[in-house]
Amino acid sequence: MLCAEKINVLFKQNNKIIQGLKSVSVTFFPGRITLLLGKSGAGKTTLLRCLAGLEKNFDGQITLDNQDTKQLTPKQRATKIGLVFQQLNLFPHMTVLANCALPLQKVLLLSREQAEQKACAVLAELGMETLAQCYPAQLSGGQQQRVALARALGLGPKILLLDEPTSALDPENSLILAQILKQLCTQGIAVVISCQDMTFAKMVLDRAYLLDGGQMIERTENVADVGENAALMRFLGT
Amino acid sequence: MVALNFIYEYGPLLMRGVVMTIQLWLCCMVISLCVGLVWGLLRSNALRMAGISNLLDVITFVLRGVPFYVQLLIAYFVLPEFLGINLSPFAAALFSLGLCSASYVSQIVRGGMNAIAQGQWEACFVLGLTKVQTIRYVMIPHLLRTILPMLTGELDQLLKTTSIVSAIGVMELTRVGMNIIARDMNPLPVYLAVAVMYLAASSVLTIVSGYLERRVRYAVR
Repeated sequence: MLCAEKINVLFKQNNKIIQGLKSVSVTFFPGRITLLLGKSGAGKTTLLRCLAGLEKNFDGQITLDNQDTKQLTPKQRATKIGLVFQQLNLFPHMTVLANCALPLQKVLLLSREQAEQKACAVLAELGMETLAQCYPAQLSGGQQQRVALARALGLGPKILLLDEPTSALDPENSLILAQILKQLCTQGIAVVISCQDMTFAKMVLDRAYLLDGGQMIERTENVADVGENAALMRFLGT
Repeated sequence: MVALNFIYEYGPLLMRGVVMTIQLWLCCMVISLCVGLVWGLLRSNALRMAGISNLLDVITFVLRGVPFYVQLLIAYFVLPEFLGINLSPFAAALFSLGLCSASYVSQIVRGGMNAIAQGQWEACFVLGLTKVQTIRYVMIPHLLRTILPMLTGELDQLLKTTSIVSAIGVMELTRVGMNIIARDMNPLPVYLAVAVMYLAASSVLTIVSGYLERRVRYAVR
């Protein structure tokens, strides 16, 4: 279980201090999909960056199974928390297979053969094994998305964070991604998605946090119990 | 017949000059690439270290701003006196040409590093790679592919700049040519032969760099 307690983040932008997050507390459970919803600038990505350890200057505490994430070594953090960036950030000079095998080789210290075998297995689960020798630039947006997902999943994280995963996907690929994420949930992974795509949000909706101006304005533990007038439902346009 | 006579008479001397030029070029290339790479990495935005990087910025500014000929004269005539050491013409040439070229290589490396998106560093961090692993396995391979054409251009320039060290008496190709002309007063064929030899060496480098660029090129849409 990943818990963030009273997270405050301050940014300096054009000599002005801007509060990115204001006392945000969130919890993510294994086997559930949690959506972080909100408009642009609501603080969704900032929260994901804090959870992934990319944002270090924040007040508050983030714990993973009661252990402060700031105390985790890079290897512990990477094998527990995975992040798929909005821009994907695949390594353009490496093949799909090398992209996925590199962290397995260097972080999990597997031999090259073992790393490639494991990477191939993860790619096969996502239907990408035939494209293992391609470079990222030769793939479509949806295929690149799945490579980024495979790279993160290779390390076997308990928590998977996805930042705007459908921003470059067509409806068909969004549906494929939704099915993959639901499948991951059944394996006990906690999936956290920052999202503005309402169609996709409705496909995977389980529990959600609604953010606005860096504050959490609504928490929904079970979508089935939410009334029509809830801010979440108004945001989703239902 | 005239050409054969020329080769018979001057060929061995000129070849000695070619050998010295290539020795000097290869030694300078090692210094230039090794020093320039570390230097450039330390001057890049991602790896800047307060104090050290600023000092390297100043040294680069000086080495790129002062003509190489002046640097060579300082290295051969001023430094030994100042430091109380003896520098042979070859050592002075190696030191000054290697460092001068390293400053240009550092600028190429710095530019290449700064062009790598911040997201690549963040991806490595999230995947649990240490900073050293990130640089070794992701950034340098990425960087070398990006800067290879500029780097081979600099090495080509380095080859031709070796001719300037003739000024302090290093017996490289240009100096050998000048000595032959001083003896026989026949500049046209000698300078032509020297020019053709530089051109041949430069052509080999161009072919090798083209081959390397094709080998390391990764697919783009």
